[in-house]
Amino acid sequence: MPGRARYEIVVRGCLSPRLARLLDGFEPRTPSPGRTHFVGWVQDQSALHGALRRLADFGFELVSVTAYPPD
Amino acid sequence: MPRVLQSKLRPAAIPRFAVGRGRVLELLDTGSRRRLTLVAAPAGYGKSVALAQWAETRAGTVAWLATDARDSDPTRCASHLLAALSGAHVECDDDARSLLAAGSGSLGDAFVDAVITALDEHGAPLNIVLEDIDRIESSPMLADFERLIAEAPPDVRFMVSCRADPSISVQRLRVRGELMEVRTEDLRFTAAEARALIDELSGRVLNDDQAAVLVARTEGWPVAVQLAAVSLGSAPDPAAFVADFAGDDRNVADFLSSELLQNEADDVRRFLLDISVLDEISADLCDAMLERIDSEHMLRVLEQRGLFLNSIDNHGHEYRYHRLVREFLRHDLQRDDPARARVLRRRAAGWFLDHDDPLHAADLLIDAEAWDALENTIWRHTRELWEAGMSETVLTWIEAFPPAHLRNNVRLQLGHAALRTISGQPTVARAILDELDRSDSLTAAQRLAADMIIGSHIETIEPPALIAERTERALATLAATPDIEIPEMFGAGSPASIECLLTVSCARAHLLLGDLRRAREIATGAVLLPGAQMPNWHVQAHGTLALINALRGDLNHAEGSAGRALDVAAQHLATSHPATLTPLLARAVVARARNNIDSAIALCQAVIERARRWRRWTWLGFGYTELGFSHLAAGRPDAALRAARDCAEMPAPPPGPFVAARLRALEALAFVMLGQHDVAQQLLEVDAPTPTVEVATARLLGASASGDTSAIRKALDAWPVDAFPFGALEFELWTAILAAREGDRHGALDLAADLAARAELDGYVRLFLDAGPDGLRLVRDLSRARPNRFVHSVVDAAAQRSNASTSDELVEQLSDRELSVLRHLPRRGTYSEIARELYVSPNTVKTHVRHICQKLGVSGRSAAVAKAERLGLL
Repeated sequence: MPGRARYEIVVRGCLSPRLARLLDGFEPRTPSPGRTHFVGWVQDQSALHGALRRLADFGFELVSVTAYPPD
Repeated sequence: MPRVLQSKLRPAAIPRFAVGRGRVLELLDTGSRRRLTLVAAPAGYGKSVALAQWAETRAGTVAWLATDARDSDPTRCASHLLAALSGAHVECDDDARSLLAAGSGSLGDAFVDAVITALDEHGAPLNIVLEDIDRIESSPMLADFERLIAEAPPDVRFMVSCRADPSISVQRLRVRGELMEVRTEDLRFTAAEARALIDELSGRVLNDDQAAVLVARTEGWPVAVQLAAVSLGSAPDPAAFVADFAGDDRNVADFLSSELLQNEADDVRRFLLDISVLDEISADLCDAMLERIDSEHMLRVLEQRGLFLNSIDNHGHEYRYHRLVREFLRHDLQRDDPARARVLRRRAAGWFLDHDDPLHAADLLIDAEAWDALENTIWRHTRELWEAGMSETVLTWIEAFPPAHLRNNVRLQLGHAALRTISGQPTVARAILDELDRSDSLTAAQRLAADMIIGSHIETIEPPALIAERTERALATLAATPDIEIPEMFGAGSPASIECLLTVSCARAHLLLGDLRRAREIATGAVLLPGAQMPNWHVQAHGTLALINALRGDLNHAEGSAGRALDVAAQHLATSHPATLTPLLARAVVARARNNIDSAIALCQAVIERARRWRRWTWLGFGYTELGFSHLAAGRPDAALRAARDCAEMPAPPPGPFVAARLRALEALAFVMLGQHDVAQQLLEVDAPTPTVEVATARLLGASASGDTSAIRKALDAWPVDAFPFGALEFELWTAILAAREGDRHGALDLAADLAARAELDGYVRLFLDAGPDGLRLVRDLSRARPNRFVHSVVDAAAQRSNASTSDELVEQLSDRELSVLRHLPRRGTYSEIARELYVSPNTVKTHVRHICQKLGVSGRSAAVAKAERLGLL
C-alpha cells in the first residue's frame, strides 16, 4: 500500500509506563538513556504528522524522525 | 444556542502566583510597536499568561481572540472575530457575515475587506491578539488572516501566539523590520524567576542546592516549574522528592504530573481526572456530571493551589485546564477507566443539551463515540443549526461518524449530501446520492429528497438534462402523493418550499437546455405556488421568470419581475444573498437591450462577484457571457473576448448547451467586429445542437459582411423558428434587411416601421443596433423616411462612443470594478448611493476608492476624479 511506511521517532526523556500507549501503533523503547524511541507503521504522511502533533501536545522534544528503508 | 463564547474574547485570569516577567513584557512592548509580534513556543511556556499580563497594561486598546480547532468553520470564526472587534469598539457593517464566501473554508475577500474598512474607520491605535492561531487548520483561512495582518491600517498591531510557526509568510515583514519574535528561549524562566515561583507556590523552604536541582532539571520550562512547585508542596518528603527528581530521566512533565497525582488525596485525584474530559469547565456542569454539590468550592481551591485550572470569568464559575496538563490527565483517565470516561462525556453532553447547546454536546458525544446520541442531536437541532449558519460544523460531525454507521443510514446520508451541497461540494454530494441510488433501498419520500438535492445543483455543476429529469420525476411524485412525508433536511423546509425548489430548478434546467418556451411555462407556474410567498422563493421564482422574459425581449415584464424580486430581497434577505443572482442577471439583459451599457456592465460585475463568492457556477457563466455582450455593445471586442475567456476558465464546465452556444456566438461576434471573419466563420461552423438567437444573429452578420445576398437568405432560412416568440423580432428585422438588400426599399421600411413600433413598447433600443451595419443603415433610412422620437433615439445611440478604459501612464491598471466606481465619483453621490447603484455595500465602495487612489497616486476623491480626467479615463 503506497504511503504506508515504518518510522522511528526519537524524543528526549524516557517514558513512564502510563504513557506506553501514547502513540497508536507505536512501540516505545529505550535503547539509550534519556531518550525514547517510538517505532511503528504509519498509514501515510498525515498519520505521521498527527503522531508528531500528539507528541508536541504532551511537551515532548523531538530529537529525530527517521524512515526505515522500504523492504 | 450560544452564538459567541465570551471566554474566547478575553484572556484567562492571571493566576495570583504568576511570576512578573519584566523582560518578556518589554519584548512584547517593543513588539507592539511593530505590525506583527509572533509569540512562538511549544506547550507550557506561558505564552497566554505573558500576553494576558501585557494586555492588562493596555486595557481599552486590545481586541482578544482565542482561536481553536472549531474556528475552521468560517461562520464561527467570523462571529467571534466581529465580536472581538466590537469589544474594542470597532464596528463592522451589520451585514459583514453575509459577505462570507460559502463553501471555501475561508472568510473570503469580501469579508476581510469589510474588516479592514472597519479598522480604517476606527482610526485609533488597536492591538489585536490572536491566541493559538495555529489551531486553525484551514490554510485558506490562514491566508485570510495573513492578508488582514498585511493590509490593516498602520496603527493596528497584531500579537499572535502559536506552538508551531504558522504558515503565514512573515519574511516580508521581517525584512521591513515590522516583525517581532518572542520565542522559546525568551520565555524560559530565569533561575531567579523559577526560584520565585517555587518558593511562592510550594510553601516550602528549600536550600540552595535543592533549588538548583529543581531549576536545572526543569530547564526553565514554565509548566514544569509549576508542576515541580505544586508537587513539592504536597510531597510527604520534600528532600526525597528533590532527590528522586534529580535522578529520574523521564520526560519532566511525565514525571511531575505523575508525582502530582500521586500526592493528592483520592477524592481530589478523582476530581482532577474526571473533569479533564471537559474543554470548558463550569461548576454547574461538574456538579451534574459528577453528581456532587461542591464543585464550585473544589474548583476554587484547586485553582488557588496552582493545580492548573485557570479561571476564565470573573466569578469563579468557569475554568479551563492548562492544555498540556489536561492531555496527561485525559490520557490517564482513558487508560485507567475508558468506560468511566465515556459515561462522564455522555453526562456532560446531556447537560449541554439541556442547556440548549448542541455544539458542545456534539463534541463530547464524538469523543465518547456515542453515535446514536450524536445522530439524535443532529436531527433534533437541524433547523436551529441551519439558521445559525453552522453547516460547516455539522459537516465535521458527520465526518466523525465511522463509515459503517453512515453506510446504511439513508437519512443521515441524505443530510450529508445536503450539507455537502450547501458547503459548495456538489460533486461529493452527487457521489453520495449515486451510491444511495445504487443501494436501491430508498423510499419514495427519500427518493424525492435526493431528487431535490440534485435539483439544487442546477446552480452549480449538474448537466441540465439530468436536473430536468429528476425534478420532473420528483414533481410528479409530489403531485401524485401530496401528503408524502419528506425527511427534514438542511436547507430544505416545508413541502411548499420543496415544491418551489423543484419547480424553479426545473424551469432553470429547461432554460439552460435552450428550451425557453417550456422554461417560461414552468417559471410562470412557479411564481404562483404557495411557497413563492416565502421571501427566498419569491426572489428565486420571480428572478428566474424575469431572466427568461428578458432573454425573450419581454423587457417591461422582466424589469417588473426583477424589480419586485430585488425589493423583497432587500427587505427580507441578507445583502448579496445568492437568490439575487437571477433578478440581477435579468436586469443586466434588460439594461443592455435598452442600450444602458454602463448599467449593464455594473450589473454583470455584481453578478460575477457574488456568483464567484457563492460558487454558483451557472450564474457565473451567464454573467460572463452577458458581460461579453455588453462589451460588444460598447464597441470593445477585446474586452468581450476577455470575458469569454474568463468564462471558459471557470472551475466548472460551461453550464449547458444554451450558455455554451451563447458563448460561441459571443466569440464569433467579437471576431466579426475585429474584422476576422474567417475565425468567426470557423466558430460558427461547429454545429450547435441548440440553436439560439445569438448564434443565428452571428451567422447573419457574417453572411452580410460577405455582401452575398443569397448567403443572407440561406442563413435566414436556418433561423430557429421553433423558439418563437423568442427571437421573433430579430427574425423579422433580418427579413427586412434582406428585403432592403434585394431592392424592396418600400417593403423593408414598412417592416422596419412596424418593428420599431413594437420595440418601442419595451424600449428595446438595441434591436437595430445589434444587427450591424445593415441594421444601422435600415434605421437611419427609417429616421429619414418616417421619423419619430424612438427611431431618432436609436440613431443617436449608435453615434455614441465608448469610454476609454486604459491609460499608458498607470503602472497598475484599474480593474473593471474600479472603473465602474470611478465613473460614479464625479457625480457627487454619497458612497451609499453609489453602492446602491452598483449592488455592493458602502464598505466595498470605500475599499475600491482606496485602491483607486493608491493606483492613481493621489489621496481623496476629488483628486482621484481630477487625475482620472487628466488621464482620459473619464
